[in-house]
Amino acid sequence: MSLLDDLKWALRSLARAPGFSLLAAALLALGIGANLAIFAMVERSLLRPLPYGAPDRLVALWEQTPARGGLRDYFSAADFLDWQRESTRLRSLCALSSGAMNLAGGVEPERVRVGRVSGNFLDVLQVRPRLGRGFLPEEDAPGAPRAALLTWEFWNRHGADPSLVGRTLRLDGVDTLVVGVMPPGFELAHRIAKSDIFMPLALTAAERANRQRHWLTAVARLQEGATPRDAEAELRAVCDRIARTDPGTNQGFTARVAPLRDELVKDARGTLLALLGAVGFVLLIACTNVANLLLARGSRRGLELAVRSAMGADRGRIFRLFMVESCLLGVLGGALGFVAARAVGSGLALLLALPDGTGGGWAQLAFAVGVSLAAAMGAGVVPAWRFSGADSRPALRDGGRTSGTRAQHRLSGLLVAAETALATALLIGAGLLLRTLASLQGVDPGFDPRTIAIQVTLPASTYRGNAPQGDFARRIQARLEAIPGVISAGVMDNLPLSGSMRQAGYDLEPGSQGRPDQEAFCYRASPGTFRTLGIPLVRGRDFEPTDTATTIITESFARRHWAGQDPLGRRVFIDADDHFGMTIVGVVGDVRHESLAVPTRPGFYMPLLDPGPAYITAPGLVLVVRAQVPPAALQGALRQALREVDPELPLGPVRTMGELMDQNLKDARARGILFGGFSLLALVLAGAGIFGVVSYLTSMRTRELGVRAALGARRSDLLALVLGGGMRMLAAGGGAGLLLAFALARTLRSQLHGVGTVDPAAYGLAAGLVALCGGLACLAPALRASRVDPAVALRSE
Amino acid sequence: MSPRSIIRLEAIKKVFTTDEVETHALSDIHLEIAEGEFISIAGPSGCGKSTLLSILGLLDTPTEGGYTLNGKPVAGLSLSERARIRNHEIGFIFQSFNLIGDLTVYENVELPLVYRGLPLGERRTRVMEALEEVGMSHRAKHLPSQLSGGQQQRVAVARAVGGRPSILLADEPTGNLDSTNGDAVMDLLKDLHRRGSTICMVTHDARFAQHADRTVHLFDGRVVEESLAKA
Ligand SMILES: Nc1ncnc2c1ncn2[C@@H]1O[C@H](COP(=O)(O)OP(=O)(O)OP(=O)(O)O)[C@@H](O)[C@H]1O
Ligand SMILES: [Mg+2]
Repeated sequence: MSLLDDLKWALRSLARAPGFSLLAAALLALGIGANLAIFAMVERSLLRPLPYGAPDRLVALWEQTPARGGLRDYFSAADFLDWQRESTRLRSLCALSSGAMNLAGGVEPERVRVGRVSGNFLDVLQVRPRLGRGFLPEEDAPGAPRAALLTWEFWNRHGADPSLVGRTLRLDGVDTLVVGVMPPGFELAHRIAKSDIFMPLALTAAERANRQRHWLTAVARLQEGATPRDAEAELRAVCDRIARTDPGTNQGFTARVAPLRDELVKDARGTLLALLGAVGFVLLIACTNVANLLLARGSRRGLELAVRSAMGADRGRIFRLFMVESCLLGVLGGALGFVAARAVGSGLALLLALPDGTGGGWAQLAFAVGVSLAAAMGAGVVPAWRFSGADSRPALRDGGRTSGTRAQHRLSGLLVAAETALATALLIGAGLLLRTLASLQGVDPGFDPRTIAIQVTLPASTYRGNAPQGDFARRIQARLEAIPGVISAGVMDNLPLSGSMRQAGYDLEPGSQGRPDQEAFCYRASPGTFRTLGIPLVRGRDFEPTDTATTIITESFARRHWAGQDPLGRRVFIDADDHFGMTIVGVVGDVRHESLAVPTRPGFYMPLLDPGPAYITAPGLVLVVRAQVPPAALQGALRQALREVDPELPLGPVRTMGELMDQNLKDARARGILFGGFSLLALVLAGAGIFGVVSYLTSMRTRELGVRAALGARRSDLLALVLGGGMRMLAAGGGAGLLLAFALARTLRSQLHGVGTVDPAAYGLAAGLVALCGGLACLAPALRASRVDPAVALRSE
Repeated sequence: MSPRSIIRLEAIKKVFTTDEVETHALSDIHLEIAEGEFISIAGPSGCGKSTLLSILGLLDTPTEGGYTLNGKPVAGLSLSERARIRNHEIGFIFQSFNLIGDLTVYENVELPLVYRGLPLGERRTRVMEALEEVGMSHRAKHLPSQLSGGQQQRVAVARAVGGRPSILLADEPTGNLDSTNGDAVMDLLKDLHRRGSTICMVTHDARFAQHADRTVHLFDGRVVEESLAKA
């Protein structure tokens, strides 16, 4: 009832000052909109339940091995089967792996991403296929007729024909029965690539017994009442038991169990939370500005408030009136912000490569309402508290011409300093992230970014083992080199920065220095590959087509084991039962394999054309090409070359190494751009806030300035007086901002590269920007103050 | 039967302390106002008239001394209890009218009734009655800025009496008006007094002071003289 009156008065009062109301609402809208846009992504990525039944009971499993240190390692099938057999805390487990297969039958062969899963995976995830059925137990056995479940999206790309279920697809030359279609949006990407189709793992007897090959990952469902911690303790005991019986392979191995959700979002979480923090700062700044606007406006309402008080409104009632007004502003700002966030949302999702789209409307709406009201209250509470407690008598006596008191000016100054601090800290954060981006962009990857790379999946049915793969490589390389415009070509079994890596243990002959590096990478390459990739040959020679049991090592490998000596002619042994030995024939430059941000590790290459040991093999090959013409112009010739060698093989995406590097920088770039954008927004908001407050305080001091001028102050004195006041606020805020940034930078540390948390350039630049922007904001009111006419000022009383 | 006393001040003292300067605005004020009485307070500028009035109106608290309103001591009341008493018992009229510019005439008069929590219908009757009484009902929808000074003060009087307070406090209600308008407002107050209102009015103007039953003369924060009206 009486709240309605407050509402009516508040509406009236805002409508009477449309400029003020719109400005305040727009400020809130900027802050709220930024928060909504980021929250929408947080909701979709971090908060929304996973698309599985009872998703909170699902956990992810991985292994920690001494070779990988604290990093997550894949595990062997034998380990997985032991866990499955012995665990009581896990109700059901499902192993996963991923690969690619070639789909024939269309106009062009197509490369299909295949998720290989235990046959029970739909039971573990508690998901039902949209069409057809799940896998039968007998389909998850070696030699069984092949079965596949299609994703909804893949099924749609291929005509969305319901009768496809029950028919066969020709995958890698084998007829595969389509048993069903998964529901829309279903995916399972726990440490495996996104899949187009799912097929049973069908582990062979050899795979089931193998503890050497680490290639599986898994999700599992907890038993009723069990926690991830229980399950982990139990699996650790199993690991200890295995380590005792198989110390040769499993020494020091241990199992880890974590909620599946945490695992799926762990990469995005840091970025999103940092961004959420950034937009939180922007909102705080916007609120501070609105608080200052409300303070300035409230001090012009002295008479009204005094009259209300004399008429019997108590403190609470006046406080409430102010809060109702702020809430109305919040509602208006929230609505504007909601529209703005929708407008920019898709762009942001694209930039961050996060799922875009609709849904989750309720959570986002609730957040929108919550954040709008919180912002409104945050902005309104200081002015409301200040004016509800104000002494009303002076206003009653002189007809409401009271100006803000000194306490209020101090309050405004404090708010300005606070927003300056927030903007400074945010700018420093952005500076650190942008310096990180620059540092990553400046990293020398060790190869030529112009080189073109194409991935080719070789079906195991026709390319079983290294010899047929070597034969394929020889033929395709000859075709590639014959394409007009191609300077050189090569074939590798794994590409730097492609997201996959292979490591191999090795031994050294006596007389070498240091211990073998457990994380050394081991790739195979054909002659000409280094030249094509622009990897410099430092010593010795490239592989030759006739090479057997030779190796080419990287500079860091040479430095590690033969510093100051000649490594050529020395021998490296693969750390396996047959102790396969290779003679070093060359040394090449180092390459960033894992990511631009991860320092180079030592490694060695083996000749691709030499069959070598059977366990160093890959499911696919990468063609590398150096050409004088742009990649697009080569597409047709490349497809033709591949068709001539094997018409069943599809041509993967044709990309340059530069594009791979770009992909690798995507997260760092998105962070840099977004943080940079938000910090600039913060700077502009803070600048506007400083301008507003200094203008207001100066206008309140017109008479005082007039008196000073009348008493002989020069223009420059007045200018200095006002500028000095503004600069004091800026300096206080900037100083606090540096301290705040110091704390903020520590939370960003995991996302920084090539720059310390106390980077003088970032801190200096931010301080400079704030000083410049703040100085400009003070200049206009200061100039106006310096031109005050003493006569007018004195007459105004 | 002596009339019941509405206001009783005993040894009221008010000291303002600003920047270590103490101003003794009121010293040892004893004052009793009876129900239905019309008293005026006179004295030179700065003698403490407005200070006394704001203490009477519970806008300010005395530094020392006792104040009994309607038989109840007001010392120790909480801020919101004081606000409630202002709302129920006291009507204010100011020299500079102090209408709220954003609100219409009707809404200005309604204001204290809203704070009292009266239902809409009763508010309506009371506002219209009060406006009727001061002859401003035809201007209910106007904004204060659309009225002359005298009209504004009549609206302020309507606002003060609409809540039927036990006492009306007026601080130089005619100070900002020319003599015609001043007379009109004075007539309104006299009329209210005749019908039983208790009024306490600060005025410089001896012409208006003579309408009161009694005039209290302040000088330098003390009561120096009390004079009864020559009937
Ligand atoms: N809030 C205050 N702080 C400090 N001193 C005050 C305050 N209010 C009033 N005074 C002082 O108290 C004394 C009495 O002031 P008051 O306003 O009551 O005078 P007045 O009789 O109403 O004068 P006028 O006829 O000019 O309105 C003055 O000396 C004034 O300076
Ligand atoms: Mg006065």
